[in-house]
Amino acid sequence: MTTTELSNRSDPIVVFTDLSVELTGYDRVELAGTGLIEQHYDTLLRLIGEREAGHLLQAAAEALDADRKNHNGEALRTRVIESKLYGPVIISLIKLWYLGSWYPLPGSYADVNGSTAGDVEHVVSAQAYREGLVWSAAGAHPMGAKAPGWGSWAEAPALPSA
Amino acid sequence: MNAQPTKIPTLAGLRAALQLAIGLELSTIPVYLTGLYSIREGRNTDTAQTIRSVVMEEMLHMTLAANVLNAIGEVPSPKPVDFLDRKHLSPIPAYPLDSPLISGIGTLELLPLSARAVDNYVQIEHPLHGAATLEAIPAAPDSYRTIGEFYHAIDLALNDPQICPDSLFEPVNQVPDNEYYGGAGDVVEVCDRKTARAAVQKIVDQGEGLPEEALHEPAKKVTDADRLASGWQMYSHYARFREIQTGRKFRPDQTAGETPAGALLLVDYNQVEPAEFVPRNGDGSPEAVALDEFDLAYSLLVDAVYAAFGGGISSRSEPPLTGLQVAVHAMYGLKHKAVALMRTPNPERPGRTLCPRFAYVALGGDRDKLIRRLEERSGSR
Amino acid sequence: MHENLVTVSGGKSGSMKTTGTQTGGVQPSGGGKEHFDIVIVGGGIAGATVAKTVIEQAATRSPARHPRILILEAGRATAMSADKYDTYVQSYQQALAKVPNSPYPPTVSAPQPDVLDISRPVMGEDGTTKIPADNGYFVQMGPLPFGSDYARALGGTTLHWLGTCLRLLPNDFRMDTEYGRGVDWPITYDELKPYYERAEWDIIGVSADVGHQYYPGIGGDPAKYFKSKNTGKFPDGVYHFPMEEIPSSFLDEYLAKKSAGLVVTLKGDLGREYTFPIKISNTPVGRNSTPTPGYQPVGAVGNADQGQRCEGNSSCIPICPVQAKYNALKTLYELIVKYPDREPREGEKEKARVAVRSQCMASNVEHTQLPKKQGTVTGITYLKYSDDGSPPVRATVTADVYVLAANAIENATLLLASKAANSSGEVGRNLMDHPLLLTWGLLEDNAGAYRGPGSTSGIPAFRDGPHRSERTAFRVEIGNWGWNFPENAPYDTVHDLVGGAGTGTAQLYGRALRKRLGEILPNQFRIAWELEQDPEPTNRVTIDERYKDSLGMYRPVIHYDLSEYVRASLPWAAEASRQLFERLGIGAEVRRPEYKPGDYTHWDANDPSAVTYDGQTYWVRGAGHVVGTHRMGEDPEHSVVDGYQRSHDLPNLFIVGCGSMPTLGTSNPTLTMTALAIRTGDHIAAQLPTHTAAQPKEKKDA
Ligand SMILES: Cc1cc2nc3c(=O)[nH]c(=O)nc-3n(C[C@H](O)[C@H](O)[C@H](O)COP(=O)(O)OP(=O)(O)OC[C@H]3O[C@@H](n4cnc5c(N)ncnc54)[C@H](O)[C@@H]3O)c2cc1C
Ligand code: SF4
Repeated sequence: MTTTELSNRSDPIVVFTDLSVELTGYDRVELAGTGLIEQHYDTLLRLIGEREAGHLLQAAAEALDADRKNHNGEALRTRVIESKLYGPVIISLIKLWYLGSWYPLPGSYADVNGSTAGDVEHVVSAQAYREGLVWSAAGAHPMGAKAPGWGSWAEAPALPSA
Repeated sequence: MNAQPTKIPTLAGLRAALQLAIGLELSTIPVYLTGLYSIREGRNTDTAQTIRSVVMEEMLHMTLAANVLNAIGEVPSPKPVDFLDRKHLSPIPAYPLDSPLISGIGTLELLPLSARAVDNYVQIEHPLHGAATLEAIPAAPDSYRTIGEFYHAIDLALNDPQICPDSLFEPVNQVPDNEYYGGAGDVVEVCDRKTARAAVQKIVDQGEGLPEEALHEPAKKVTDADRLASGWQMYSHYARFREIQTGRKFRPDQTAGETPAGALLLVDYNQVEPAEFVPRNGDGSPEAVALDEFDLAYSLLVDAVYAAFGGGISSRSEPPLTGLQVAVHAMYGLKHKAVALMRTPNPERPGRTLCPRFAYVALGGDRDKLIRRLEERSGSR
Repeated sequence: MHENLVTVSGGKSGSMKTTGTQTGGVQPSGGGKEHFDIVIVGGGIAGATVAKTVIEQAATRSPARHPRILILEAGRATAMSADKYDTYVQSYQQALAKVPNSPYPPTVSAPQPDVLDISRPVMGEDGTTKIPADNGYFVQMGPLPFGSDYARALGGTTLHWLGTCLRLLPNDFRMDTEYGRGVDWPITYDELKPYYERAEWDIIGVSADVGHQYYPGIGGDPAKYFKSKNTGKFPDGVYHFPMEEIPSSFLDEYLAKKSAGLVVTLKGDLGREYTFPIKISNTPVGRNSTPTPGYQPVGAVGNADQGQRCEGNSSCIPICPVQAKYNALKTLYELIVKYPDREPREGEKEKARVAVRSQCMASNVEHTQLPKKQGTVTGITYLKYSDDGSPPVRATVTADVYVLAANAIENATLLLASKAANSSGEVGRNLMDHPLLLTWGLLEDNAGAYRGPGSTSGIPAFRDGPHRSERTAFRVEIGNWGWNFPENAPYDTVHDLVGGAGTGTAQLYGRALRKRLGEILPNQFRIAWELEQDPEPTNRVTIDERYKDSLGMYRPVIHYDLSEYVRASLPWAAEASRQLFERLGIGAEVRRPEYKPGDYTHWDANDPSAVTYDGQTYWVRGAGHVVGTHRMGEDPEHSVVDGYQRSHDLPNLFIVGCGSMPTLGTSNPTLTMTALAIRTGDHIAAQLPTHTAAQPKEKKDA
């Protein structure tokens, strides 16, 4: 990999975005459209600590680069998703995107890496709830927001293309 | 230059004028929606409510113009028309838009909420579009200086039995009043000359096309009944936008031509997405795809609206929904898409986000191409 | 707490100012107490309906009468404008557990029950309570916990109701005569009918199509059941609702197609067989839709443009963000805008006046009643609290007519605490709800779950019929929100799919996760089988010195169980569900975290609301239908109020709300309760003495 590529990709928020795209199955525009990339990035840093987040994003950047070269998702899977260290964080991150809530890391993770005060189950923000990806994955809309309009429920359902 | 506004001498001319009137009403909607949707969730709530109320009324005006046109024997259509000596005028706006018909209105641009955007709104809704006198507005052949002049000409033609004999009027494809809601007031179902003129008068009364005298009338009339019903109808569009522009509310004793001097109206132009309009570009980035998707959704919405005006129904549900109902769903969907675009950074323009283009892609070759392009790319998402 | 109270009643009129600014223009009557024509306790739909009805009816009297009304509300007045209401929406979106009361945080001083607090008391061998479950506001004495809640905020529980507005069936009014169960009502369906119409038109605003109401027990012809005597408004008595029906969901239509022709067969006592042809019926509901000519839908409070139509926000419980769904704030707002509590301005005609005072907890009904004798109410004492560290202020107001409308349970505790209106001993007894059994499954097709109002249709087949002599009737509600209720979906669905609880490795992520969710979530569906509960004197609300809240008010102490009559319907509902699921092609039993079409219904024994019957465990949930604590009847020995909801013991006191209903039927109770409240309002309007409270008058008790 060339150095320019590396410097571009190592912008942490770009890495976070690329990682989120792989974890969620939503492209960068769909994720940006939630208005939450920065908020979720901040949440991650706040809830696992900056140092741990730095390690995770570094590992993710390398794995994503490898996968780009090999046109598959193997490196991400083996080095990040299945990693003892990062795996639990990845689970919380997927749920954060899909549900808008933070789910605490398991005790076994905290025993090794420590735990932050905020690492308890909570709705991260009203917007995080409203923009949870689970609703669009269901072909629906969040309960109590983004109403689809009068009588829309009588129409045949459609799933947005994935 | 001719001081008399252009007369509409024939039924064909009147029908073309009404096709263009529908387009004129349609053309202001994206301008206001861009401002409205750029406001961050939960911020500028007063301003958002004001803009929303105007949009609802513009939609009502479109519907009214369509009801009149249907009643004089022509189905509304997005296709270009010949108006008097001018050929091939498209009712459907493309932005930035210099109205083919109203010379005073200025260029309609799609801008997120900003002082400049609000200035534009005020100009659109001012009886003279901001000019000091009617004469100060340059006139062009077969067009009008103000929206007011335009509707006046339509009204004269409607009232002329030579152009519109009594037997012409028939209540065809009328959008019924009970299908329209959201506070803009009642739909006039047109069945004769009287109701046709009432429909046009309603457009004029609510805002655009106000005569200059309106500036000397009270800015608002508040009653208890207004508080329970739709409070907005006590203000003209112009007065509503003046309040945003000045950041002050009108006092009940003021006239619309004065500067609002009541309570502060809190407008924060920082709580707005930094969206920026960029013309179509063909690259295959996810951003370009999203913009294209929006155009397609918008085009489908416009089609649905015209289908509604043509009396269409959707068979996708049981019992079938009317065309207007389907259009309403499309509108809700469009809003969520627009909001998402305006949050999405434009990689070419650091610090700026995408802005929906509200570009109508006509049915036929162009539409097919767009759909094909999107289908190919949905795989790459 | 009590010694901290600042007492203003009986003081100089100057000190009364401490009760708030609304006292302007008040004419104190004897002892410096404020006097009104009517004092209403509770700013929910019951209280609002009585106020509106009395005002409108009294104005048509000759000479016209314009009463002054005070509404005392225990909770806060948060949402009387659209932007303030939005703060409720925010609080809902941010709530971790999106239970009915999640948008409406209670104040310290006006606590409210919450379904999150439901837990099971510990019972002794002999059936007595060993350890009550008192972790929430209720003190649950068992054996079952009472599973419903209500809201204590201006607007009341209609803030988070679903809005279902079914009328009772004719036989529901004569359960004893017809089936030898429960009791008969002092009024009949036909007598209540005109009030139903007014409730549907003038208060709630109901959307429905008469022709789509396929109820049993109405002789097969909905038009006849709805036929109106008001031929001026409905030519030939052909009734129609103020708004067209809310479109049925795609799911409803899917189920209707799949279940077409299905007849459920159930075995009763002595081998009798009962058959129920299944027909899916669009449900009448207090939710805005396309109006019929002459009707104007009522939108959001303070922003009438909003909420003109249901937009499909899919959160009617706990909150409709646009207020397309009726809530009592709408009626209250109309009252305070039309009838402000002030002297008429120059040139203004005299009108009624309504004062709403929030954060005012009614604490005592003052009265002269002696045991087993009639008396009169002489005042309502309330505590105005501010929760800012200062002590609450006590005041007493007087009126010609008093109305309690604080919800069935609070009406009962207030009466019990005041030792009022209870010579029958029935106050607090016969507490009822619709115990609700859930069944749920995963359909073979995408049916579009999580879209639209909570429910748009039901299956009325089981609501009436001869089976009611041996077991209760039930209503079947089809839910549009997937497994939200039974399985906390979509949350738990995501947890299941992402997995990794033990391993720390996500099983599914990225596009595969997105796709799989799209295959599962829209196929989820659930049904609620809502059982009629019969009145039992032992199901009751009581009070106990040991259980008081921070203002010193008695907390409701609740004894609750399901009778044999109710329990006998649990296996029936389960069996009916089985036959329906079979027909839908999802008869096979499946359990999470596996996902494939099938029947996911399961009731584990460790649930706080587990009930066993015939060796089988079921869960029953509360439906929020709190009914029956001050039943109406002709006989003062066995009932608390008469057919007009007037207290037998205290003739100037009306006790209104679902508490008055002698039996529950299978209709959600609020529409019926509203009809009753209108009837009460007419009655009060006709009986109001001719002076107004605003005018000085002779002291009656002088
Ligand atoms: C989740 C849920 C869903 C429901 N869905 C439906 C449905 O679909 N259809 C249906 O018919 N019904 C439904 N209900 C029931 C319905 O909400 C109630 O029947 C109805 O709100 C009762 O009205 P009310 O005015 O008697 O009492 P409430 O609405 O509870 O109002 C009582 C008011 O009195 C106030 N108050 C209480 N104590 C005092 C006091 N001491 N002093 C002063 N004020 C006091 C309270 O704060 C409140 O504002 C549902 C209920 C729940 C919980
Ligand atoms: S579906 Fe939505 S808009 Fe309709 S009543 Fe329920 S919450 Fe309100």
